[in-house]
Amino acid sequence: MRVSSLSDPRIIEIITQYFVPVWLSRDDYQRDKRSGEEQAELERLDAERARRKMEGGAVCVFVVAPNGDVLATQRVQKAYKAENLLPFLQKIVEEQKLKPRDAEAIRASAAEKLDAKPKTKEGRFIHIWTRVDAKGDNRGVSNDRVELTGEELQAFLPPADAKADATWTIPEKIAGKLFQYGYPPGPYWKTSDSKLKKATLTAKLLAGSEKEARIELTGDLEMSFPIGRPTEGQITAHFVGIAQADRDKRTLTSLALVSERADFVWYWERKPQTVKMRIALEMEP
Amino acid sequence: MKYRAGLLAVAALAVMAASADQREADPISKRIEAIKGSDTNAWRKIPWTSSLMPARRIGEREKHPLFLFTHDGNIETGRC
Repeated sequence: MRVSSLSDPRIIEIITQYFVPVWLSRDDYQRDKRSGEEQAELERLDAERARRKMEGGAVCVFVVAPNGDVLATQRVQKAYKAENLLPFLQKIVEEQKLKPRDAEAIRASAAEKLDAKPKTKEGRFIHIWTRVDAKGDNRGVSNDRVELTGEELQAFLPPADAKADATWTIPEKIAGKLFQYGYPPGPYWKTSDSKLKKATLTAKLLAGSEKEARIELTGDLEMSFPIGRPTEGQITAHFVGIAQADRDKRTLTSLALVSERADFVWYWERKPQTVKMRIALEMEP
Repeated sequence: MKYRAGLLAVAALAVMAASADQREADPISKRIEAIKGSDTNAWRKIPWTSSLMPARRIGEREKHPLFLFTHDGNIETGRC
């Protein structure tokens, strides 16, 4: 639904104007840990839906009246198509004689953006995007974020006396911390299921000024990521990238890596299915 | 005829090789933009409230129904 009906301008418009929108991860990926009150409310809504034999399941659209009654539901197999979700919502707007929400109230009720600051001193966020461009299987683009500590970032810096063409290795633990998110977007979300087999990253000092170091990066990833047991997905990727560092301050000022030759192989009836992927990593400015 | 087909095949290979070279020559930043750019992020424009209970209270106060989307995984990272 994320990449289909919920990204349709007609659906965005009607939800924004007439409803108080909220998403809820059954796997508790909320920004805040689910409270007992929220868990009880979710169970109440599920129970009411089941008792009244309304359609739906774990992945579902609920329309909940201001007094808490479940007005209507639509299962995801229908709701992912805007052609189904739009008339479903229009019917509720008409039946309930809803007026558009106040613009200021909409702004005030929207969640704030994700934390802007890293948790560790000198730490920086690295974003990891993955995408699959296969036709007919648009899962959009994943966007994970991981924090590298100041100490981990130091591993990308050249030794103080290094000359052009000097090379050094980024510890596998750090490369793995970045690369473990390199699996396809979609309904598979447990990064802890990533099993790294190889995560290498080599740095090479390019010719630069006395103040600024330009660093060429190359790396390789081999990892398994299960897509339904007992089959296992296998990911291989080759990365190239560029980093820049302030030699006086001994700080990394930019870091960017890209893989346009990533393969995700999964198995269907024991036959390997290869999906071409692209992966990008970039340090937040 | 065979000669002409062979020429076409060679020309096609040359074009493919040139586009691969061009891709390699593009700055990393440009290549990253091409990967992260998407027309499927529009759902983020919806003014989602932070969680269920605040949404319930807002709905009650404003006399507007909730649009509640329950799902598996993590929608914010595109993994759902």
